[in-house]
Amino acid sequence: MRLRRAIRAAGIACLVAAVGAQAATPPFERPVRPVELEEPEQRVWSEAEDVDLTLSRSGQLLRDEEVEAWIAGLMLRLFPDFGAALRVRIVRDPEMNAFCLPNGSIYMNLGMLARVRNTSQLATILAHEGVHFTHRHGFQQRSSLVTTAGFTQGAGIAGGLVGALLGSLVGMSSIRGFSRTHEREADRVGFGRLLAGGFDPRESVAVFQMLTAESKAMGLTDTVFFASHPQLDERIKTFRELSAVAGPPTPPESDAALRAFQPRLQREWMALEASMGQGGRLVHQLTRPDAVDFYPPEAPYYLGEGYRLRGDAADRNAMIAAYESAVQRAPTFAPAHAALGVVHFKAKDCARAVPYLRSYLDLAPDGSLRSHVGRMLEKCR
Amino acid sequence: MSLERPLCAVRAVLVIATLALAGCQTAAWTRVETPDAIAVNKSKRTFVPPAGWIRWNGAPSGVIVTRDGTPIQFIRAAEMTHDQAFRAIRKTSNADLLPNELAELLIAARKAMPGMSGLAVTSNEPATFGGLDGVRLGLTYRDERGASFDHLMYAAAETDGVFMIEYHALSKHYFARDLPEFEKVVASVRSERKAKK
Repeated sequence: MRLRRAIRAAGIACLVAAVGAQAATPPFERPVRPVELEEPEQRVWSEAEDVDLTLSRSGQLLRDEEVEAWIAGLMLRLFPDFGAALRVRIVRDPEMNAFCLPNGSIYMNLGMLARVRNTSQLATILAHEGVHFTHRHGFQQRSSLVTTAGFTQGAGIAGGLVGALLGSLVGMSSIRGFSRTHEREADRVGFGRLLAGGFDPRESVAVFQMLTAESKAMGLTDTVFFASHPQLDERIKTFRELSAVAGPPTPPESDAALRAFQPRLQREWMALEASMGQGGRLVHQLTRPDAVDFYPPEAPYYLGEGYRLRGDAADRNAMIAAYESAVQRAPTFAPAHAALGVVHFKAKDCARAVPYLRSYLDLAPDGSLRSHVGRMLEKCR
Repeated sequence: MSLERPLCAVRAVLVIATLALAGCQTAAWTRVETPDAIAVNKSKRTFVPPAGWIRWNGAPSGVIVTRDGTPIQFIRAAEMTHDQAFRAIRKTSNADLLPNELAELLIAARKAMPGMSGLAVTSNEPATFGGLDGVRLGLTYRDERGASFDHLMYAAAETDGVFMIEYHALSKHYFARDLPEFEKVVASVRSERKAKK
């Protein structure tokens, strides 16, 4: 009984401390230096810097000066009062996710950058994450944490980004999302930033609809991005109401810069997704109605890979059709030739396999599959 | 409830653990004095470890031998059922996998391991070893402390599971030094089972 009472008392104390921290933590109104912070918050920032260091050494960051500079420009439009205090880095991770550390470091996944349909959608995410920093959500959340155990649960495969940050309370808590109150605040204040920056507020609805569709299609109940977030449908409703009042921007936002570099990010994302052996998300994304125009010509190859990796025998015809479409749309893209060659080789149909296997070797004499393809050609001889 | 019974149980566990540890201390590592063939698990596949290396008897799966300690280098031979082999990436293998498909699963499984970065494929080619048609796959990566490792695997998908023999060593100095020993070990693999057609 005494133990139970003690546990209850400790729980109440934690709750009070967390609520107290929220109430007594006003937002930043300008960029701050660590020395200006109270000691507990300095410690949290220091932890965040350790996470920055871990990630920079992890090999998980995608260095692309053009993209980083363009995103930095978007951040200045959204947060002109914070200058360079908010810094965005790109993480080589296929998930549709982004997160913000307490020190203003924002990490945007490759999977997000490759899939947003326009600049305003990306700005919606950036504004939301930036508010987590300006409103000191990371510090408040870190103050109320006791253990990482809850954060590692449900992470599934613990490689990549999650694997790199296991053991870091600040890192894991930032990835797993904030409290419902903080998420609502980030949505509301972020929407104001979006409007003030001249972005199209209607796209905030679209980006959450896209996230919801993927979440539902993948059967995810506790996705990383949405952990503890307000219900998605509720958020879509809120954004729809806000954007109806706001109306479209004048003049319309240009997406030319995004369009210029997005294909190379999409190629990298599709290859990364396939290399991790999981096909469901590729199939979901690459069968969307606008996929043919939105993704590069070799995308059907990755759709075929998605079907293959999903491992459902019923997908076989769709897989072959996708590979054939890739050969038509991107005839010099060697992996699509290898894929068709392998499919026919496995079906013991050397007559069909050999031309594709040969064309793979012609297109990619130093390709990663050359030894395997050579062996298949020998067996077909 | 009385505190005496739980305390008795704790004491009993401690005694058993101490006895177990005492027993393990003498049998955890065994020097390979003569190069005799070792069976992998309960299968009929065998390999001959390098003389002078040390066998870790407490290996969680398969057979592990090392020369300077497992953090520096080791050779491991293991056989896993198709359900177990790629459970970490929620995949199952099968006997019909081509060597390139098996390599793809091995790479995906390594990518999913925590604390690993900069994974790169250094070689990926079909290989025949111990009468099995499989793949020879070379990888490099860095661990969480930034140390660089090389990892060379020979693996084959058979009717009853995936057989693999692998060599893992610090890239600097050790990998190249002991690579000839590993290739000799691979050449020593024997299988009494009929190889897959």
